[in-house]
Amino acid sequence: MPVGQAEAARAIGLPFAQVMSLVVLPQAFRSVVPPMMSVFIALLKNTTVAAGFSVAELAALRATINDAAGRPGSPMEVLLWVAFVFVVLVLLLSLVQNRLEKKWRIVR
Amino acid sequence: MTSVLYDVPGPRAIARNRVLAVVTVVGVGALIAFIVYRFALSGQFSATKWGLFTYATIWEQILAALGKTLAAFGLAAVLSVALGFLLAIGRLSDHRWVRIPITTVTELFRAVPVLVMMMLLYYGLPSTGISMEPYAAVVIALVAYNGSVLAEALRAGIESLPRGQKEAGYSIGLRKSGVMRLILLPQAVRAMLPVIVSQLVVTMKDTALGFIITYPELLYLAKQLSSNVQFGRPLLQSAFVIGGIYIVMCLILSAVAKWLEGRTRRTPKRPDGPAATTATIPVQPDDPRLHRDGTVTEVIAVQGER
Repeated sequence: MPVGQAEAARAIGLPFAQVMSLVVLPQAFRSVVPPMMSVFIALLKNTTVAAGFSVAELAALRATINDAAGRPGSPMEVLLWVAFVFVVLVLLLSLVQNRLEKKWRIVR
Repeated sequence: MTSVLYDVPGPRAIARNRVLAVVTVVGVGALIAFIVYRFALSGQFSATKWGLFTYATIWEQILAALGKTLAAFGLAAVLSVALGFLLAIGRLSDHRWVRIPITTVTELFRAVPVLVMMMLLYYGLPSTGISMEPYAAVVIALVAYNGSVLAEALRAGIESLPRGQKEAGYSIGLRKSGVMRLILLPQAVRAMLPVIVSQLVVTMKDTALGFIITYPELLYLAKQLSSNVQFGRPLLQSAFVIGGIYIVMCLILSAVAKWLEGRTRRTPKRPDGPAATTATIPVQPDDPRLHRDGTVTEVIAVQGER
């Protein structure tokens, strides 16, 4: 964000709060969408770490399903499903990212 | 100091800011004091709990585990940078049959969490008849994930270059490989160096996930040490020590990155020798124009030399 934006907002007499809420932040959000979404995607994937501390999230659920008595099939199958769910979730998030980028894009 | 963003604080605002500053300092100080008090109360500072780290054998174990962490990180870092280049170039290929599969693979590797990838390799693959060491599973999972992230960073770097760079490369007769190798990649690497290094820091920290698939690295050892009953289960103590080692490793990596950045950003040295003069040369004492009796021919001759 060029400093001139904030300076111009100050020059027309806006107080600090309105400089931020009306001028600076709306523009900042626009350029922040791609890095923010990649942080969210990383956050989603890092939930798997909780499996190491016995929180019943997706990767831990895998162990539960896998060790269930009388389940046919191999461990590979369950793991591939877990991976598949993550791929779908991440694709959904990137879809949201594309939508937001298009919505807030500046027409120049 | 003045700022354009807000009015210069008046006497009331200054007084209010001082009060807020004092309240903040006291609040944070109280929080720290409370934590220290709880630690002291529950005997976290006792000599028995820290005593574990006074034994040479323990430090030998820690060094061995550090070696394992660094072994996984080193191999994964080198291979993931290589894979990153490969995937980035493949994704920018002109041939659709190269571009589409590589794009799919990159997106898949980025979407699957490192831990799930490790589990796939370590717990999943044996059911298809391929069993592998935890080390291999850790390294392959890290390479797949970080390689694809680095590929995206490099691709962004290449695409951010002005199109004229590529066109100029072609116009002096370079082929596709030459343009990529000599023109585009060096600039992209320079532009993306901060991203590459921060991804390598992520790689280093992700080696800690190896403890879940029983790769005996630092965190695995920390867990082992913390269950030592003889020393009163020093959980926090080993977390502090091992966490400190991780912090130091990351700081070293960041320092290397800063040094590297300084090297690549340095302007190329000028060739030695007298600098070409572009300014007007001051009149020298022997200049005929300074002497009354200088002939017109002499003046013209001197001007011709310049």
